[in-house]
Amino acid sequence: MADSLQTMRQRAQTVWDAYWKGPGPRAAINFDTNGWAQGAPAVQRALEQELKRRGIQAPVVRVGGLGLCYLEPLVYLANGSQPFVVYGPVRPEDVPALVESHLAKGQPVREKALGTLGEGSLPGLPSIWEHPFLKPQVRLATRNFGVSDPESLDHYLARGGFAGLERALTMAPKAVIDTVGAAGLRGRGGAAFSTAQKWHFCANAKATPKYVVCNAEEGDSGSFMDRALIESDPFQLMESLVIAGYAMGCAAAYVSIRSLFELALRRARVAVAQMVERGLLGKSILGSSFSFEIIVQESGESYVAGEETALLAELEGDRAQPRARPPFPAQEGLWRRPTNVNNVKTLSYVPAILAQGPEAFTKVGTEKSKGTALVTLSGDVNRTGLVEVPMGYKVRDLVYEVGGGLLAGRQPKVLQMGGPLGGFLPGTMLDNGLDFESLQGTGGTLGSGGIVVAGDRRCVVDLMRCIIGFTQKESCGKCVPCRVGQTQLLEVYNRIASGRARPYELETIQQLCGTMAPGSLCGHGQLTPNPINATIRHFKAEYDAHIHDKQCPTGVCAMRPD
Amino acid sequence: MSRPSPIERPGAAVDTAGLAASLSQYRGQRGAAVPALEAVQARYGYVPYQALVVVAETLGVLPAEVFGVASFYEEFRFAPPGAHVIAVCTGTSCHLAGAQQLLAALEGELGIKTGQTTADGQFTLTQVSCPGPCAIGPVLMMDGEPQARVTPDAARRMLATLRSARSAQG
Ligand SMILES: Cc1cc2nc3c(=O)[nH]c(=O)nc-3n(C[C@H](O)[C@H](O)[C@H](O)COP(=O)(O)O)c2cc1C
Repeated sequence: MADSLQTMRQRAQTVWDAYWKGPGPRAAINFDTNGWAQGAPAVQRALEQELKRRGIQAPVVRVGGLGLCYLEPLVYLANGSQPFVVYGPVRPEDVPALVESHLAKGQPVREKALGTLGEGSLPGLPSIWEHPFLKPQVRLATRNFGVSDPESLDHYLARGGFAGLERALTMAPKAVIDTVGAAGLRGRGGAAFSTAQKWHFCANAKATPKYVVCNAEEGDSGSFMDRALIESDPFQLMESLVIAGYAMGCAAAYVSIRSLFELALRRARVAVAQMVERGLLGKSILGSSFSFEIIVQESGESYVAGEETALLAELEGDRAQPRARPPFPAQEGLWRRPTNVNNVKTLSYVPAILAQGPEAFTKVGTEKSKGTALVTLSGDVNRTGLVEVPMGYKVRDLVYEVGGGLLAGRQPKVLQMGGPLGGFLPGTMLDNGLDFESLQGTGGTLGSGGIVVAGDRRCVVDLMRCIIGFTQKESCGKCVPCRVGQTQLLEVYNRIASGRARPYELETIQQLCGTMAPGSLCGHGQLTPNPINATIRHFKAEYDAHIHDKQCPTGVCAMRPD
Repeated sequence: MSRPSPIERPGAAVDTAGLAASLSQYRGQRGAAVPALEAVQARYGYVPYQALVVVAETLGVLPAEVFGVASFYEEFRFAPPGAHVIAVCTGTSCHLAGAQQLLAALEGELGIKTGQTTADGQFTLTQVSCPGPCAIGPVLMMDGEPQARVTPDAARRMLATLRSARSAQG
């Protein structure tokens, strides 16, 4: 018989307190892909060596990312019962001096300190949450990011984890779906469809067994929040899947993660294994009559594999190519059984909605777009990283308050939003809000939340060529309009950017888009015209200069055959 | 894009029994084609034809079906790669951060085009999109490890380090 949640929580509190409150010296390092790519492994080794050399007993806890990607890797140090001091960016050679001053002498190193994290304060140091990148943020889905150890079920429990599942299991399955409905949760994978409505479709389907699939493909360039949600808080996603499974009457969940996302895969598997061990997955979860399993499966590198029917095809052992709808997955999905596919972000809001009630979610955001926008900010801004702000937050504030403005004081020319099938928001329209409604008709879109800022020295044609290079390569080849259309489009863009444009290229583009949008089997071909149309609408003069004058106004395009 | 056919070339000898044992968790599971192929590529650096046959037998499908799946993904290789595989991200964020300049520098330094392997079998240069650290590009994957903010100079230094490690060995 597994322990009750009550017993587990008591034990978890002890583990958490030792890390969060001390007493005694404590150390942590932010270890997500962003930290890893910037040298976190070497910094951790240096830290462990230095602690050992000085005989300081402090295990180095690996926490997720605070979202401050541009300042990683971060190191947290704490003495006695003091809060952590967050340092960054830290190089291995910085470590001995940090440890000496902070842990051996008890003096935080102000020049490298970004702020404090934890309970209490330290004189002269602000809380890390006062940092300009973090201050405007409202952290619902990312509440544990950079705070807890993503591989520790105890940390998750101590932070209030599994209260949502506990609550859900006391409710009728339909009531769980209605709670998600009352929160107004809409899909974050791109289409913004009502999550509760999708869950009802699947719950009402007759055939069994049913499945819930978590779409963690995240192929959009410029987006990394789904990966981050798994790397920094995998238990939240897994708890959500159990709730979803209970609500729809599913037998199992599949989480499909690219093999390329090594850390996310590992942490997803660690989370599932710990939940099985503690009776939070498997037979009769928490003493209820509900049994459920979660299978974490590697997927291949394919953009179209993120389209839901292609994802199901891949899970069945076929090429990741889309299938015609209807039948919709809710009727005939995985192995022709009722299946619900949700994005990682969408799911990650669910545990808190159950635990705290829908109001916790609806009190944030706009009339029609509830909750937060979870976006990743990259490109020509000073501060880049992962950001969670209320829906409706002004794009301008994202660029200037959070992002700290453009590099070298440049002006924003355009924001590429929502990945290669998303849109372009011109720099003159930044007063729109980040939500599903405000951006309609602007050329921009929230989409899946990737935001790439391009300054005034960037060429829109060059950016668009880069995107078509991607969508062409990633066309799955199943339907002709997309397969042939993408290749033709790329040739047009290659001609425009290399000074070989024919006078009627824009008409050619319109014809190709006019065939692909209505004629393609899935969103890949259907939506490729979106960003193209946005750029032609807002930057026609720039296209004309390339096409008619054989000149790239910004000097980015080579304007000769390459 | 043309693909090499899955005809065996000089490469790792496939220990069919050992491979079959390591794939036993996928027995009879048609849906595990990609995970099984990932395991094969992790083991040999590519997908040797004999290994593809073992995968097919394990899953209970025809080798042609497994090849159909494998050839769909650019990541699966049918010939041995170089000792080091360098994959440069060319997504939008990395593009702005200078991915093309990085690729050009690597191509120049290695004397090969993207997609090729150096004659001494040391380096394979490929493209990837997107391993994730979009906020800190340009990004490359060096033998599976992500590296951020890689300038052309940093890339040249990285190659020099790997080359001198090799000549020190032998
Ligand atoms: C070409 C293409 C790629 C897609 N890639 C993803 C993806 O990587 N992740 C994702 O969640 N949804 C992706 N989608 C959207 C999914 O088809 C689906 O709408 C989504 O997973 C539903 O989840 P949601 O209701 O929670 O938003 C993609 C769609 C298309 C057409």
